[in-house]
Amino acid sequence: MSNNQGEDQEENGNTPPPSIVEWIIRVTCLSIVLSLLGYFVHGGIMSTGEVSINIQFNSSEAEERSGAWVIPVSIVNDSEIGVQQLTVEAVLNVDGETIAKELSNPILGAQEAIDAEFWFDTEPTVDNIKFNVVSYVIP
Amino acid sequence: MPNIFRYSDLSTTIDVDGERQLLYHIELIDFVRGFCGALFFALPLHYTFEMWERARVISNFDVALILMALYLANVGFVAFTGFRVKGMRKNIWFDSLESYGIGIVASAITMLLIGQISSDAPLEVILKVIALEAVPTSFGASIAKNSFANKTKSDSDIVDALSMDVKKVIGATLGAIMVAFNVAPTIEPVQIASFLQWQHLVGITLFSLIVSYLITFTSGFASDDEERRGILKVKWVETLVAYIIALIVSGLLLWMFGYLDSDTSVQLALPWIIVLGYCTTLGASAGRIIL
Repeated sequence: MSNNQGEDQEENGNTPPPSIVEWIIRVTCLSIVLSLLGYFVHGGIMSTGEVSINIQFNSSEAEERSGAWVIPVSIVNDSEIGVQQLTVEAVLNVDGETIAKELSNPILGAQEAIDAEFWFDTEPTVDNIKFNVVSYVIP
Repeated sequence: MPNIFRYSDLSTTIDVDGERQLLYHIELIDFVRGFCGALFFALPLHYTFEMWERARVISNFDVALILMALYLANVGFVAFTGFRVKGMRKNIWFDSLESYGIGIVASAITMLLIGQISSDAPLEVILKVIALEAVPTSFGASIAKNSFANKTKSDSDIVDALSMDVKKVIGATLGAIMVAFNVAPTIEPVQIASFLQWQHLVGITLFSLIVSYLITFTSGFASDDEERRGILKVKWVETLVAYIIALIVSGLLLWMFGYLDSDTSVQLALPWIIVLGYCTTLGASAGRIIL
């Protein structure tokens, strides 16, 4: 690597090489670009391609509201890919009778979580309620 | 074979329009021009909901492919235009890389300011948002010479007859309308404003003023005919006036599209105006150059 010192050579038809400031900018940009690209290539290689949707429910958070029981849940996409048109259901079993309620969400990104609520007329417990993923679309 | 890794001393000067200027100073101005061009070009898509949604479902491999293709596209843009006024110093491979980096940084700052990057969001979604938004943003950097380099005088006698101050006010107003018109009809500015904290609003206001100043700084107004310049001779005054115009235009556009009316409280309206004002500020700044 050589260093060009002193005055401009542009007048003589030569362009001076970039300054050290320009080189700092170039190296910084290269680092940013390669880091971002490396992240996605690595993520693509490591991804299993399987979708894993986890529905978390804490029975102590269920509350009575307007004469009904509201069940707050957290729907978590544990996979490395986002899904569209996600539909999940909560199935409540009361004295042998099952009552199902569905919720839909247009998009749930990778590693993303959303909060949602199911409404039932009967008080739920951990034992008598189950959650299922009904359907989703992989874009 | 020439050594491409040579570098010049910081004291190296070059001739710019008959004036000796420090090389690294010119390089920094070029970089700022690229940064402003990136924000200006990509603005509508930075404020578009569909871009953020797409980032949540796109696969890692697809983003990687887009990023690789993006570099080649930038090489093409830089080959035709670029962000350096002095073409002799253009290196399409490195300049494309800089456009790319500028696009990523400019996108990240904007996404942070409008609340699309937060500690709640997964890292993967954040990086995908930045990567996708960097596409139009880096293009903007690559064609910044077209947007922000010195322009020749207007062909219009009417415009030429106006004082420089009047031209700038009209230019700022038209530019603000032109740019913000893509964004104002959408619900996004109102939605964004609804969950922003005061820190976001202060950040947007300050960033709007800084960008407005930077655009003015890189536009070459300093070399304009000094005799024709009036109250807007001082750059910070010009920046402030342009920002006030931008806020007025922002309010008018929100009223035009039915978001604001006489019953809207100031507490509600002000965040909306400031958020949309970010768009109108860029438009107002660029409009002064375009006219």
